[in-house]
Amino acid sequence: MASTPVQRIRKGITHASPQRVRVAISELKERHFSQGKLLGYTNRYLTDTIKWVDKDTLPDPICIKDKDIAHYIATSTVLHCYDGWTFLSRGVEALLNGDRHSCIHMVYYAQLRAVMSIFANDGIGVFNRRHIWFNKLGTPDCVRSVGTHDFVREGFVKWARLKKKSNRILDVINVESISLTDWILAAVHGSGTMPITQVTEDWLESWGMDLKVLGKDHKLRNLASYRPQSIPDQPKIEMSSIVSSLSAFWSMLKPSQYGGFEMLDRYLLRNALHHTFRTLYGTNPTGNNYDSFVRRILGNLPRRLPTFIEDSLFDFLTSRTSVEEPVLFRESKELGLNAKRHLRPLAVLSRAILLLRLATALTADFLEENTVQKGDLAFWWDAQGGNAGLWNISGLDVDLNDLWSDLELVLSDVEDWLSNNPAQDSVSVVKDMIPLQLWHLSKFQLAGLWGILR
Amino acid sequence: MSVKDLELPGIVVKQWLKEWNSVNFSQDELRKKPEPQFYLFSIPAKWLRKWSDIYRRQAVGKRSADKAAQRQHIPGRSQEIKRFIRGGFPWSDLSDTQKRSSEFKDLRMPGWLSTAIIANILAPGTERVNEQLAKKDSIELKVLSDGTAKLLIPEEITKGSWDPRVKPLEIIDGQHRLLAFEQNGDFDESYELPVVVFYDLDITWQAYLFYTINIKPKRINASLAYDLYPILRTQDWLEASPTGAYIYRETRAQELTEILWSYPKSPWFQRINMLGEPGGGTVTQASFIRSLAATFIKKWEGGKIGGLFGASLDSNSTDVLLWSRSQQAAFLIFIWQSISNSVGTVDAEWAEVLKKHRRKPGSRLDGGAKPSDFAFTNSFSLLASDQGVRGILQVINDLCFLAYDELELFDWVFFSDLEEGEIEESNLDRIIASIRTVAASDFIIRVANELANFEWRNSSTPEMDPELSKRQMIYRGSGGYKQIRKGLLELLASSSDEQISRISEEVIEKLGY
Repeated sequence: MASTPVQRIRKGITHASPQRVRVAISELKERHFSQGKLLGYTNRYLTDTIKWVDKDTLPDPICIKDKDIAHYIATSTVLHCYDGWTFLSRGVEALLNGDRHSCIHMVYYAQLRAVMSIFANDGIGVFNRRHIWFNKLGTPDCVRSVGTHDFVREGFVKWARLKKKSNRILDVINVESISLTDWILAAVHGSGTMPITQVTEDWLESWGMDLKVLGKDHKLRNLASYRPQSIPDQPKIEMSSIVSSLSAFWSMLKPSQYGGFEMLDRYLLRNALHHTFRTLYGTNPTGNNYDSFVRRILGNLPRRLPTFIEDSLFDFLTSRTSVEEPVLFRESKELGLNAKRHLRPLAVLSRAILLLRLATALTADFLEENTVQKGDLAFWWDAQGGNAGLWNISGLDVDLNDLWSDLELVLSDVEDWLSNNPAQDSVSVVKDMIPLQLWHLSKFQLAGLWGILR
Repeated sequence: MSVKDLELPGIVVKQWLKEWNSVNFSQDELRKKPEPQFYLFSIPAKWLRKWSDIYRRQAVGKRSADKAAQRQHIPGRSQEIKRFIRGGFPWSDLSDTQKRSSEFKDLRMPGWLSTAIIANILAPGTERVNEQLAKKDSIELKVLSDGTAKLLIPEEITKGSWDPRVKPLEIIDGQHRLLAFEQNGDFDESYELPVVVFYDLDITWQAYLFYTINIKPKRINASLAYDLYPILRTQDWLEASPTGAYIYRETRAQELTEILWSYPKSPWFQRINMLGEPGGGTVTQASFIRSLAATFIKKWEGGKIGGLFGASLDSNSTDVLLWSRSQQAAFLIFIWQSISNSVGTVDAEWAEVLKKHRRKPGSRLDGGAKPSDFAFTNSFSLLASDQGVRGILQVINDLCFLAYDELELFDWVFFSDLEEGEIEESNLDRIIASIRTVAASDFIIRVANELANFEWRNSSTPEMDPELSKRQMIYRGSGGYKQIRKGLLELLASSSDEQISRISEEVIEKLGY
């Protein structure tokens, strides 16, 4: 009996294995990165990729060149991830020019690329209507006749529910250099119960990163892309509010000394521990019981933290400090289209940032595990950063994390401006007043580089 | 060992204090009085595996009748140990891809298992899992008059077909190490394990022993290892490990930052923004850590300049400064105290202007009573910025790194117990005072006096000359880090102090400025 598209997608996602692409990225490092190339010149899929993939997957069994496609998919872990941040930047630029529709269009692609990067980390390449995946023996297979968006949407739902895959997120995000997995395991140390298998799936669902992002927002994207922009009427752009929210998003992306995002990862940890507590005890994470829970975790971590760090983390994790939920997380719970059919680009943006955070963490870990270091890809990221205007001549002499100090100046300027202009709605007036700052606020590619290159 | 020998020599370890006679011993409660000694043997791993068993708690039967003390086996842990035996650390932690890579081929190290396995020899007739140990399957322990002992192995138990329900040895601690040696595995027969053997030790004492070995001990502060063996700071094999180098560099940077923040006589006392919160100070903990990791604690990167606390001081040798964490902290505090003293007394326009703009008394980062405090808390002061902090640390590290010999850094020796937790303030006081005995201290004071002449106002300082403000803008943002380092070195190179000038020029040349 012929399988349905959904069945084929689920089979591919379930059986895909990252082994082959891990070998591929090491091969790329030895043979091509050192020559300043992302792929070999003889790689069949270097140009006219879709054409060759279609041709090679037409027969049954497929006759794909597995080494070349493995190399392609391996490289695409990084490229899809960075492109996702670039699409996000384009979306923010559009928004700052008062164009909600284009923003949503771009940011949808940021989300899509984030998921494509996540899939590539798992040995899955998304190619128009043919999608290649490698099994654990390193043999390629194909999901045919399924469009990109459908594959990504259905595939991601499946991926989120496969504990062995989605739980990797918790392995690769760290706070104080301790993985979220280890933080959560410290909660159940000695108890024998393992809530960890529930955290990620519920986490992704509660953020709305599955159907909400790719289902409803997919329709939303179509609304933005194909329908005349003024029908239905959209409210006036509130520039001050947008600038304020973007600044708040940036404050979560400050690079940490551990290769992640200092504030964002802390909030992810808090979120995960809240969830774990609810799963274990069936009550809200408040009061003495939750305090004891956090104390126990801090006492059971695999590495002892300095007392001061423990104390400050205790206060944070029990919401004695930073009580209010950040704008990024608040917006991520909103729909991209509200009840009045008004577009909410900040909601879509926030989810894109969170998805990209996951993709970035997985990609950084993928590179690190396979010995690909920042210097190996310098030929690529230096050029990308230059093209994006992140540095004047070269980024090679700069510690990328030091570039945060430029953002700090911008955020400080923006804060001053906002205090004097709390309700400025005119796009042109704002662009006149703080043009340089707006330009910097859109440069989310920088966050991508911080996160990918440790 | 040849199975025909059937005897294994060992030694007797007498351990019994007369106070122990008052311990509650009770045969009925499975805590009968143990022998006043135990024994040390060296036993091939393969044979130890064959002659012993690790009794897992059985789900059948009443729990109270279940005498087995051991816990579940974690197969992954034994596999990890097996990999360690084969290739040591960090080889055992590498992924398959990394192991195949030529980059890591030199990282194979010996996989010593030098910690003793703890085992108990069962007396014949002892009951386990509802069966008794048969005499023919027992190992006899013979104590000799010369203080040695012998294990007499019956030929029966060396046969391949021997596999009784109850074996003569049980493992109290070390099961995972032992299970790394599969019964029919391919490890060399000459791989022996040190084994501490008790004879007929009751179950309660076995559990007690297990607890005191595995549960009671505190977790170790891993960075302490780098003070016990400073040579670890420059080992390639640790650099290659994902966690090894981090443990020293990042953890040590964090510890030193915390000390700078918490030591009352430090100019940074409670002035580093440890929580990264708004209004909590202009220099955050994260940026201080990054600055330390980029300066004093960085590794040698060939050709340029390494970190005083993190690199060999000579590319041709493995000379590492044997300074402990306390000494490192003391050195940094001394540097900042010198800076603080010099900016507090310097007769310079920048200082006069910043004093006028000091924070109000009673505010969270109050200027305080010291003359120099204005420079460390003033939001218009570059000294209270990431760029300024990095610049000072870079320049002094660079100078000291190149001139370590003439500054007699190796001669600064301070003997004290290594403090694992918080360092006592009085201890730091003594260590800082002791710096005065070496040439480096006078040098640092003179450097600090020179650095006080730098223009430390940032471009936002009120009433600043527009031209000066424009010039100072190069110290803003990411470009500011390099510019400040360059500016400070150029200032020092133009000093009338010959030593400072000479060494600074050497640094400039090394850096290619």
